[in-house]
Amino acid sequence: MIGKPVRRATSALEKPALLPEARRRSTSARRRQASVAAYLFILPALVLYVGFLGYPLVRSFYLSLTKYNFIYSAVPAWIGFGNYVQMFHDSAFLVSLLHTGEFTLMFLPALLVLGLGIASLIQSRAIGGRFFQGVIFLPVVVPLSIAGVMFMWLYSNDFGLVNFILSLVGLGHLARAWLNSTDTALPAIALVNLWKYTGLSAVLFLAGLLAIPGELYEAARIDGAGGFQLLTHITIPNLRETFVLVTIWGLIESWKVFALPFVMTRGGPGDATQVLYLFIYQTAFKYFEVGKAAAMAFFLALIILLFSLLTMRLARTE
Amino acid sequence: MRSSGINSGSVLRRLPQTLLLVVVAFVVFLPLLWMLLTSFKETAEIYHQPMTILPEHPTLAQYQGITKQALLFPTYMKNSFLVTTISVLIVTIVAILAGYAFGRLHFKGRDFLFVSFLFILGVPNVVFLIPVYLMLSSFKLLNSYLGLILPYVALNLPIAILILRGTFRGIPPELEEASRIDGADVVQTLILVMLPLARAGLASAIVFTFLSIWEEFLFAVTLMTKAELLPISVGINFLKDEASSWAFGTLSAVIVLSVLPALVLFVLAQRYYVAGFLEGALKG
Repeated sequence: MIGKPVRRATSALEKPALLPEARRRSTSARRRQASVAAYLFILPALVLYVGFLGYPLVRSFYLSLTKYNFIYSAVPAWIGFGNYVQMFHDSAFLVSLLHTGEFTLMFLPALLVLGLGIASLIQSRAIGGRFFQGVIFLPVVVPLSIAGVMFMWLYSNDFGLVNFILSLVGLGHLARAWLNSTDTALPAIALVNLWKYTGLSAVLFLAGLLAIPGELYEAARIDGAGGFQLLTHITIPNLRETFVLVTIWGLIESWKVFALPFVMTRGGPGDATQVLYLFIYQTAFKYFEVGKAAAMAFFLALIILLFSLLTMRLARTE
Repeated sequence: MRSSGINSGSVLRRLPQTLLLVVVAFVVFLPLLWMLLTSFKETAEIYHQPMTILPEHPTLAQYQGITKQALLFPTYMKNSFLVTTISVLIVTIVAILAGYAFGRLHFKGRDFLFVSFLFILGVPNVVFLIPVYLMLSSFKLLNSYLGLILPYVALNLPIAILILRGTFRGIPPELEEASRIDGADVVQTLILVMLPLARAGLASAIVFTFLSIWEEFLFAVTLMTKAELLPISVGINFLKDEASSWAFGTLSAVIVLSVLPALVLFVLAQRYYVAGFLEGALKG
């Protein structure tokens, strides 16, 4: 890009206005030049895209149709859709699917409610709203794996902040090792995800709220609508697009949760935090069952696609 | 504002929601604050019952402890900076060229190519990871910076291209035409006329890409197995495993230091990150 020689340093002053004919000729020449340039401009992106995204995507799909153990198999053995059928007879896979679903239910509704709640607070002209918005948004730049390590300490039994606060407010009997109990491990992880992404949800909802014309509220108030009616009849219907956006995004994040259980629990205790993404990873890189893992990865991609389409469809027909 | 009687009334009316917001912000900030406080405590105080909130004898001992107990921490940070900076640099240059071509130039197959770039955004990264691992393994590129940088560049290109394409399309065509009539070629027009006008989009793409690579975990944990090559996002995991045998104090200092770069970047460039997210991650 930089290395290309500068052909001529001309300015408008040196170049007299062209006759119409000459101009037309030069325009088409320029267009051709632009078209060649366009292909050259795209080329680096295209090479990287094909090499590291396009080819792997096709290859992954091919592998998903084979029985292939990276360590023990010499070559992938074609078995058609066998992996896709077999995974539904694999109880470990079904369990991970269930836990991912539970994780979604813990994470997504809270993400929507808290996001809208905080956005409303900021919009209701709270003093210093911009500043607090920034503070609430802050965790989004904390890498998930680091947040995971941080919360392991906060959740720990003897010297953790969570149990300390519980004892301060007289709820000391609730104290426990949050990540070591099968009941609380998954919710504890979902809470970290929520901590990281609530600010993001709030920013999106705030953008949605600010886009609702104020006259709508005034008209409704004149008609005698109360606060709750304003919320259900004006705010929420007008935020449909934001709800769809945050829901799709939250669903995708839930189904891709990986670093947190990897760092915090390794799927345990027992299999309490074994989620789909972690299971795919382990199948591929712990047991080297590459074909099986690829099939599950495509199943995951399909789920994400379906959720996205479904949410968009629901939003349109409502 | 203070002097107006009407406003002081309205300040009073704004008090309840303000207090609520302060509480929410405090709860969100608490984990980070707690790390910060812990990192200034003496080791004995960290493991003392009943627990204390503020450090009784503020000390830098935990930060000094890093040089003895978290020997690889500086290496992890160096790896993160190296891999992230080089990847972001390449993404930026490649995405400027492609974003400009997609946004402003006409060529056959443009829309098809652009849509195939976007299509990739919906696919979970683990789908790409398996073949990339096999590929890098056969090229002997596992455990190399290049082997991590190349996939990072590819994974982050689509969003960067999407952001920059949008930015270039938003610039009035007259400026570009004027430059062409002045006799500048495509490259000169892009560098001298378009790029300065695309500053905001460029900043969004850079900040967004930086943070996304800085926190990447899946590829790093798979493609790097040698401890001295790990970025901090994965390396912190090893420091944590050691923490069960040594004081958590050092780990809290490590956490504070590893969160700091991204936090500083965020405070300086918050609006670019938000813009990048809205433009790229969501539309994609």
